[in-house]
Amino acid sequence: MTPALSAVAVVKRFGSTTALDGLSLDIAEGECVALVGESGSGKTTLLRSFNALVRPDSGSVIVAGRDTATVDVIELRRSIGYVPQDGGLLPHWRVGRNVELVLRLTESRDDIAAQAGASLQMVGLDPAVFRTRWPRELSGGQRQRVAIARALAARPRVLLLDEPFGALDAISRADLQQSFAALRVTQTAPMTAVLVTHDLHEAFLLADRIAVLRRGRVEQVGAAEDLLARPATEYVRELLARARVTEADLAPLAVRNETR
Amino acid sequence: MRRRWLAVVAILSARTALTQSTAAPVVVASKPFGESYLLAEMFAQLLEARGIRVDRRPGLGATELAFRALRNGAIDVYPEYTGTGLLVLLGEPPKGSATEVYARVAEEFPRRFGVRWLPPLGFENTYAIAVRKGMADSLGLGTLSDLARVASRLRAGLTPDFIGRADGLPGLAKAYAIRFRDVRALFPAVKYRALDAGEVDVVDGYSTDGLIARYDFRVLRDDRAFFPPYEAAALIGSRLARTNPAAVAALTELSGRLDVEHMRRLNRRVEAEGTPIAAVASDALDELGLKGRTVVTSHEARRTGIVEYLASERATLLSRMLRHLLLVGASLAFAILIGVSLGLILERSSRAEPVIRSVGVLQTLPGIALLAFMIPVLGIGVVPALVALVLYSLYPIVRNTFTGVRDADPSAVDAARALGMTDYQILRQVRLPLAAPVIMAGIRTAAVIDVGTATLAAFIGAGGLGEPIVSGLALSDTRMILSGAIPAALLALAVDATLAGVERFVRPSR
Repeated sequence: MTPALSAVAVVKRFGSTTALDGLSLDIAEGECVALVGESGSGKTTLLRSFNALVRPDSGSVIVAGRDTATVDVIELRRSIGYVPQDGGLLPHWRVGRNVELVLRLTESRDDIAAQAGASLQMVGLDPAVFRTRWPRELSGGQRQRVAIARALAARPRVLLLDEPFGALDAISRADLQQSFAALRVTQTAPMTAVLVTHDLHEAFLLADRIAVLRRGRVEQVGAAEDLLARPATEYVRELLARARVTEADLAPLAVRNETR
Repeated sequence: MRRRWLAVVAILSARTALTQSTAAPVVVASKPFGESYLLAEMFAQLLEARGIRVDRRPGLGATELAFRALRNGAIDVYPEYTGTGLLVLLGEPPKGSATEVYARVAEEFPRRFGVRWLPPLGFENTYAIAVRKGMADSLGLGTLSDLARVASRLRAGLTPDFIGRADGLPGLAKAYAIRFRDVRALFPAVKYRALDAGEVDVVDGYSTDGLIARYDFRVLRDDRAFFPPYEAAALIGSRLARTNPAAVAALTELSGRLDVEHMRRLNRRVEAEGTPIAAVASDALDELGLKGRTVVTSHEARRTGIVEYLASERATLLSRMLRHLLLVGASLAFAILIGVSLGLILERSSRAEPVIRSVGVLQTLPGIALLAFMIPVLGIGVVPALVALVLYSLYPIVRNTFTGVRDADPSAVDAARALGMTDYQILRQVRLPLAAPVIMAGIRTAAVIDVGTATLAAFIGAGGLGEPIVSGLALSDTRMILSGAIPAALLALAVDATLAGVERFVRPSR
């Protein structure tokens, strides 16, 4: 089966620094992959190359079997959900208008408002209450929920999340992680997700596989159990040790696998 | 009120109907000081008495502005002085008698500039150096040589014009070896008051000045005959000389008819007593037996308060405000159009900063200088005034558009791009709305500057509230200055308040 997303020997330089150094990674349809690693390891660059916000210097990025170098990038981006760290809500638009953004751009449906409402519902926000709110009136957690609702409103097959819960307090973060895990389970169509995170606990909790990035390359990719049991390099072993992730963190995964 | 409006409209249309019957009107201009206003008004009324249509452009900038306007045909005639012609316009050293100086300029001007001097009006108006009588007595000052002896202890308050001209301070300092302790540039409106109050000890003036007599001043004798003869005469453009012999003949009727005593008396009525210029000009022409225009005026002096003055001037005031508003509105509209587009273009360019900075440099050019540069290209009147105003209001709009759009919430812009908005959609739906308050702030700044700068338009005959300010400064008439300055200030406030309303309307709710 063709992977939903794949990076093939991708090189990307910003000036004299190399963000991606011949990186390759395949992500299967319906799979959730977490990209972990230190700052500057290339996580965000890789994520942003899937929706062509970053264009590789060499190598190719393939989405649903088509090279992003040759597709219409506007179309591509509209078909992919995106959640940045701070939500990236448009401050001059109400919540409802924000959630409708992609729906209105594509005008593919005539029940835009209903669709947006359903999307808000999906992330646990009552549309009757929140649709007319301004972004500035929301808490950080609510803002991220709206950002997720906006990303999901047009029912994309791929969802890109750039440290979506990184700026939240511990309780909101745990809340949102739970919601997100539940959300993925309840999706009717398989949805591929790529999650950039600093937080290995979060990666263990939400991802099917974890890709450890270092200096623009994949150090190791595999399920959490594999990483714990067989760290491929000293670097991976140390990363796991420093983050104090253990078998205990795998418990929710088991639950999720069961429900699947 | 409505009836008054109807009357105004009726008069305007009657005037239009009349003016369409004959050839182009003769454009009569003056420089911005009392005697020049008065002579120009006498020219105008004399021409009208001979059935020639006249367009008045009083108070054009200064020598340089008026002369450029005459050379390129924007005006037809203005009063000038032979000494100024020789020293300032020809750049030749001061020498010879009045007759020799006149002969020299009369011969050289047609050849070099294509403009003509009519025979002199009959009086000289040279520079006069004045001091307080009390001080003159205690220091024994009667001549400029006397002044040179004690100058190092004295503070001079001189007009900027005098400080810069070869026949002004630089020449004077050399001829008499005068070095003042301190030289301050003062406008005519304030220099006599400053001298009277003892803020300065020496000022420059004109020998026919109507104001010197009002104060207790002594004019020092030019015992080394440094100042060249300044005979007043009409300076006429080539078109008038070629095509309108009747006008030239009418203007020549004044030649040799005004002596210095007469002129001083007329100036005193205008400058010291505050009699309207039109009335003084009309009386003067009557006295000379050159039938002036019948002017309905109460020849009363200006001792009424500012409030009564404004009330009596309200019709003119209203039309000046409208003209001013028109200048501001039109220039602001163009400036917004150009400034916002330029800001948006520059935002996508890598060389934005130098371009924006050069727009900023425009702002620092003195208004008069900018207007002077424009005369050869655009002449005088509303068009060059608008161009100058647009250039002046551009900077805050360009700068704020550029900064506002560039700095519009980067994460919102990134999200909009990531979710598939095109560059144009991002600009229209995200960056411009987010930048709107910043752009509006720039527009408001520009508008307020514009209202103030538009007063300069009077220097090139574009009218507006600058007119009474320029003439008021020239005539040392505070009420006249205020009758322009107060409405201008109110207008600035009103414009700013209006734009604040617009801003509330465009501000995104955030």
